[in-house]
Amino acid sequence: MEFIKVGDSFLETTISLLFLGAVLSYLGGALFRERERLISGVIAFLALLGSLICFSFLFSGLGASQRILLFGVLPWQIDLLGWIVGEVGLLLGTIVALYSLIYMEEDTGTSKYFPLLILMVFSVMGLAFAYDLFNLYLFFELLSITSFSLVAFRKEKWEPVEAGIKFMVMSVTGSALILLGIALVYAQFGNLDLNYLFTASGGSSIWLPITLFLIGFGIKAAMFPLHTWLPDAHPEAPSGISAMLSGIIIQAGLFAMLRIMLSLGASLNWGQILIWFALLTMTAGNIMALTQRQLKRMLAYSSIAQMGYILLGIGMGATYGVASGFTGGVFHIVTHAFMKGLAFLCAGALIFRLNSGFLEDMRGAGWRMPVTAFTFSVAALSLAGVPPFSGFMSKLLIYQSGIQSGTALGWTGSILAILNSVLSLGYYLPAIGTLYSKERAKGVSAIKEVPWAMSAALVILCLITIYLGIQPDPVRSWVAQAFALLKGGF
Amino acid sequence: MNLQAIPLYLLLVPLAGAAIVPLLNFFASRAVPLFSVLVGLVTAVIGFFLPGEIGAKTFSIEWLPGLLKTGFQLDTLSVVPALIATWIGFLTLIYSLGYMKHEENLSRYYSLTLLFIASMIGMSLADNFLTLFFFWEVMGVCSYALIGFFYKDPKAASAGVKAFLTTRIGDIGLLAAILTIYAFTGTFSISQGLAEGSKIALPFLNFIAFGFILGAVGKSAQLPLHVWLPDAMEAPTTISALIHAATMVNAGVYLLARVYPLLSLAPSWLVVIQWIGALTALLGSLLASFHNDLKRILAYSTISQLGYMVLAVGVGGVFASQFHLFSHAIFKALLFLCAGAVIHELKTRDIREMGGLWKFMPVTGTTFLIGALALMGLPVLNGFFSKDMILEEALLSGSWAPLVVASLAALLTAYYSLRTTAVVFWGKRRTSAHVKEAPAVMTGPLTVLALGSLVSWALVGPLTSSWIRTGLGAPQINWLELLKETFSSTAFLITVCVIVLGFLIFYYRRSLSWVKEKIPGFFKAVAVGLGFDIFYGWLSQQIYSTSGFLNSFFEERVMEGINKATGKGSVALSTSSRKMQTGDLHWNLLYIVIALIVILGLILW
Amino acid sequence: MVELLILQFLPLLGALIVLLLPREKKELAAVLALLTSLAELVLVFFLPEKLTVYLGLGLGVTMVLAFDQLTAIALITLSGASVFSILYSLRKPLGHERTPSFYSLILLVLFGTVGVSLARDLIQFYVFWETMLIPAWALVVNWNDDPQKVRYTGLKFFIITHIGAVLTLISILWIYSLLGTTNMFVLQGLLPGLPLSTLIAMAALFFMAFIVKLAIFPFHTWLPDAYTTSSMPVTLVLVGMMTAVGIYGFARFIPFFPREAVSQLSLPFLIASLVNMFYGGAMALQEKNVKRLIAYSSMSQMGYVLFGFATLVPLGISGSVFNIVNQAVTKLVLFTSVGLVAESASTWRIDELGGWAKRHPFAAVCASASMLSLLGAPPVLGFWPEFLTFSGGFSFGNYVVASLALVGSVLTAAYGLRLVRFVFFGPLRKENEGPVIRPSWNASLALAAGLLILIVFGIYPAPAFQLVRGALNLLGIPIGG
Repeated sequence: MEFIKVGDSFLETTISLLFLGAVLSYLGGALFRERERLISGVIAFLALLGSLICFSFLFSGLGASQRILLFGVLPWQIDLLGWIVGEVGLLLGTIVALYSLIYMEEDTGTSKYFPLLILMVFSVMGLAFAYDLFNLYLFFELLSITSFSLVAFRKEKWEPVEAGIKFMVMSVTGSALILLGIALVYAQFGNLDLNYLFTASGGSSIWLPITLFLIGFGIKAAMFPLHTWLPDAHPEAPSGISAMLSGIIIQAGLFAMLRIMLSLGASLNWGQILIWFALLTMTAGNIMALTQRQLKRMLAYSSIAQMGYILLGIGMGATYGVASGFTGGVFHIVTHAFMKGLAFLCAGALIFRLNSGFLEDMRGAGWRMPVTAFTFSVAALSLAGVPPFSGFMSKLLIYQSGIQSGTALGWTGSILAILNSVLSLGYYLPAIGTLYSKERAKGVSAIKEVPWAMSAALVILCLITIYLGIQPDPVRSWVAQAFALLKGGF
Repeated sequence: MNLQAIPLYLLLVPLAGAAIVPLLNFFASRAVPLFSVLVGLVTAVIGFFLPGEIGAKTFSIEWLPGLLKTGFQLDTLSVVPALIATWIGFLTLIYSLGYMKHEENLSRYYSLTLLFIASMIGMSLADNFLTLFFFWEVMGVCSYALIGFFYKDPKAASAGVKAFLTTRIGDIGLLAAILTIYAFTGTFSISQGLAEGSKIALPFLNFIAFGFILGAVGKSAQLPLHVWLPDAMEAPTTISALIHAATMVNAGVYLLARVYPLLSLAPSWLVVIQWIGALTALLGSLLASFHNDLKRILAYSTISQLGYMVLAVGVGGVFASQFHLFSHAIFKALLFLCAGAVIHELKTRDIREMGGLWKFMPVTGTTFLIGALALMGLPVLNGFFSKDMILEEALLSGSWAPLVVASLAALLTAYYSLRTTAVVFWGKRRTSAHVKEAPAVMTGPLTVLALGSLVSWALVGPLTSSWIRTGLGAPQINWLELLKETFSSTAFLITVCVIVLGFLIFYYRRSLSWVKEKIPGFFKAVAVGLGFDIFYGWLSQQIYSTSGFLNSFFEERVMEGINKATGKGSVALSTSSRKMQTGDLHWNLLYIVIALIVILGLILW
Repeated sequence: MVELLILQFLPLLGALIVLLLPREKKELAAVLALLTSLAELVLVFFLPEKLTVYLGLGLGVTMVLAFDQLTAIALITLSGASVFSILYSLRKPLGHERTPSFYSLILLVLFGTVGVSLARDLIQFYVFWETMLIPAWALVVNWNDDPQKVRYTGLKFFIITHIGAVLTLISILWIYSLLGTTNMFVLQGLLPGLPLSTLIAMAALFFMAFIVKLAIFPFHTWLPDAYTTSSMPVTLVLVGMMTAVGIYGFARFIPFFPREAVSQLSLPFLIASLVNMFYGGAMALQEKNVKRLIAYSSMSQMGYVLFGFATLVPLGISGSVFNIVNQAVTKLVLFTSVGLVAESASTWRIDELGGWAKRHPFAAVCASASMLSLLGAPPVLGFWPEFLTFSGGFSFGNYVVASLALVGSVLTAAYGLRLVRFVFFGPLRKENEGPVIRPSWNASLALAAGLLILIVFGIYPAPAFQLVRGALNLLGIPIGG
């Protein structure tokens, strides 16, 4: 595909809206100090909303993947797959912005929070659409920077800063490895265009860059045993950011890995490696989550487990060429974004009222905060892969892929995955039970439901989760279509 | 009325009565007894038309669509028990007017009694095994509920449970037999089943025979399942008379007679039946001879008399067994009702507190004596002819050993009948309680039954005349021939001898008391009913404690243990695996290196 | 077409409406829930013999709903049971626990079970199966009398039953991966094409969900706790609806799989059923807590149900299908009548009860009747299924097993009689002396209905059996001429 289409009105509007939003919300916040949070928040929210709407219009124009030069400088290649990821990111970002309007009320310097959030979303879109390793790396870095600055946002406390530093160190290590990998690739092929590489990379002589990429992106994707940064980072971040991190950021890392592997790894059996790591990851995540006392920490571990599922699906797809594997993996990215986002936002809502992240302080909170508790229950059950919620539908495809492969590894993978989902009930159910328990923790009886802006965010996500459970199509079929459109790498 | 439908009316009238009584209880609880008696009367009247129906082909209704059509089978064999149930049931109901006057929850009593009568009719008239079994079970349920009528008394409650469980053991045998027949012949119909019985292979025939015998043994309180009947005496005496003497306990004998064609295909089991009968007869009379509880004496005597009937079937005298069933129903009901009258007055069942009641209760005394004489088989009472016929049959079939045992039993029977009568009615009175004759509603039935036991044997003519239709051969004789035959038979000699002996033993009982000193152990054993109850009690205790162990060990420890262990295990795994989450950067970087090596390995390998 | 959709979604609608009621509108919520289940019950009788609906939910997904006589039996039982439970729970004054959410959860259970019995698409079946599980779990956890054990009980209940369900899911996915469809009508034709060994494994996996739901040893441990610690109406929901739907599952899928595959499972099932009969019986025999006793009795009864299916003989299967109704009615009446006594005695311990027939005559009658039905004695309903089951056993030809099952029924009699004898007979304890208690109108109404069913169908089972027979004939299991 050498044809280059210059610009796309919808996409350009989207991007410019995002930039505009970032700048304006910062300025607005900076100018009106006393109304900092509201002004910058509202501006950011509106910007995100607008760009979301524009971006959704882009869908109609999508066919086979096509390249564009945004503003004549930014070479992107838009296809359905990228669009889905970007759309999810935008949607989640918008909801988080809405949520954070209230949630961040104790925090200062929110005029930096919202722009960073927007940049984060933007970098996700960049990752989704970049088609050459350079841009990919660029946006990956942007993503990392925004995310660890947001993790460490509450800099007056020590733990967030520490978590942020850990996160930074590890992801920088990862980026370094990735950069090395890119350098090697360039040295070998003299080109960073993934399409070119897809056609060029025949021999298995690129095993080293592949390894480096796997590690580098694996760190971001919290692949066991590279996940260690995540359980520290997620709980310390503001809940909105935790939602973003678990919901889309780590998946974006995985997505980038997927793109590269699809184009470069054709000669190598990287899928099987993913399967092995997937099983490790989900089991470790679930087992570690079992005994967590902190709600957000527990959810962080469950994110690791969920990444395991996504890896498994993609691995199955890559190894055995089972369509339902890829579809399931990416569809799980979509559903997981919403349900995990929901779970974290609920946790945030609880902490917002109780000022404590520990489960035993939340006993009986469900009777006082019905909306939060109910939406959380939905999220938890959906995460555990219990029908009729979206989590089941995506996991179903993943299980199915293994069994369809008809191989021993496939069967083992699926059965382990299914048993894992049962195991995960071992911490989701008690969490729900705690919220609805008879005897109440001392702080609980005083609290009341969170304000409408927050609960609205919860309800929206909850509705999406239920809808995707009862009616997975058309989204599921879009994902399937997206992979059908990909010829090999692109 | 449409004569075809007589059996149906006979069944439905008491059934309807049983259903209406509880409803009636809401509006007019006083009217309940009278209403029930009325229902009984109507049933009895309809009953008179039943013999005319013998051999009639009755319609049948679909009970289980496509699986079971049920109807009636009308021959002498089936009609006799039905009639006994209707008529004696009616008399009992009248008697209850007086006897149960002061009790509460009468609606329960009458409703169950009517239900029982209905089910006895249904059981005996049924033309297929399933219907038979259905009503057979209903009878059991009624008996259970009526034994436990005085539910506040723990003894009564437990007795009900015991009766149900013991008979239940028999019932599963019956059900097994029925279902096996169905599995082979594909029909529940009795006549077909019996006809096609020869098709079934011998091992299965044995299984079936065993099943039927088990059922009969349970229901008719034969060895070794007789233990429930004595305890069942906790029931109101009317119930003991109706269910546990005249009707339900005969069901087992009736069943054996009914399936005799099948049994005769498995001859080895006939011998078993003979011995069961003979030994039961002996055991019953033995225990009756040394017991002091009036009702229990009668219960044991019932057991022993049933033993005679079973023996009769065993030696092939099906008609004899039914004839004795007929006589026994009458005189045993009579005896029980008399006992009821006495107990009603004295409020005790221990015969040692009775005595010298003759002049206070002349009617009761006389009728009881008649009953007792019939029981011991004194000539020209109905018991005499039927028992004689049984011994005759035993003689003919040449099974000597059982015959000897049975004769021994007859001897003891003579002894205890006299003893009981004497101790209760003669001699000096041992109680200061003010005693008076029972009211007319009670003495009336007594008189009727007494007359019955005097003359009922004369009905032998009509009985035999239609007997041919049962397909079980028997001589067609009228009452005169019966007289001749009986008095000219060898069995007659036996009867006379044993009765005379019995008289003598009774007469010289004082001087025979040295026997007691000689073999005390034997009498101790007899006092505890030869230890059957002890054994069963021990057995159930074992089962109970075993299940207790199962629960405390297996369920609580093992199964729960597995659950808890699974939980604990995963938690432990979790806590241990969390140790890798040091939060220390060096470790994290180390993990990266490890992963790098692993992946390199995987890729290059 | 539309009536089927109403049938399916009416409970959901009711649940949402009830859920949206304010907390203090308890009576209204109860009445609405009652009416919904009643409407469901009535609607079943107005449906045609056979009805199939393909409901396209946009791209890809199609719901397949079908109504036949087997479904009808299940639906009547389910909605009847929910009517019963709600009626029982509806007393004045409603306890503070009887919030609208309680009733909406009951309706959700109904929704799930109705979905299960209407589904003719395996995935749909599974989804509804879990949908039924969640509200049931919520009920068990939140309306529970034993705060100490509740967490453990709830976890055990959900996880064990969920394990059964996911095993079924594996089987479903397997079928789908091999045959590319989950539509049962289509699969009926395709399945015989598969190799036998595959089919056997598939069937074995598939039945796990029902085996767990029927609390077949060793997957029974969830049952006693769940039944015992839950508060009464919840127990009734579990007893009436969960059990029924479990039996329905067997009835639906035993003919679904090719016979030669299922016949391979027959013997293991027979053994399992025997173990259940005796194990459950033994547990019930010595149990001190009446509620737990009945729970264990239910377990051993499920042994008979499985036995009937395992024979694979039309008679046996018909017995078990008959049991869908019988078990529900019997257990509901037994639990309720004993529950009333336990409530007035404020104890569940059998050695602290006794003599209550004097104060609770009606309860005593109901308890006795249902006890007789439990141990399969006429003239009450229980006799017929039990007899059919046994005749299946004997027609099946394995006389040893069949006779053992018969012996087991003596065990049943033992604990059944023991229960009634020690709760209702014997002397009444001093502190319980007092006037006769009239149970509240709703409880007596429910009980009276149950008693009527027990006795009427006990004496004349033809209509019920006709339905069972028709259902099985449709499934290709002919009974009689």
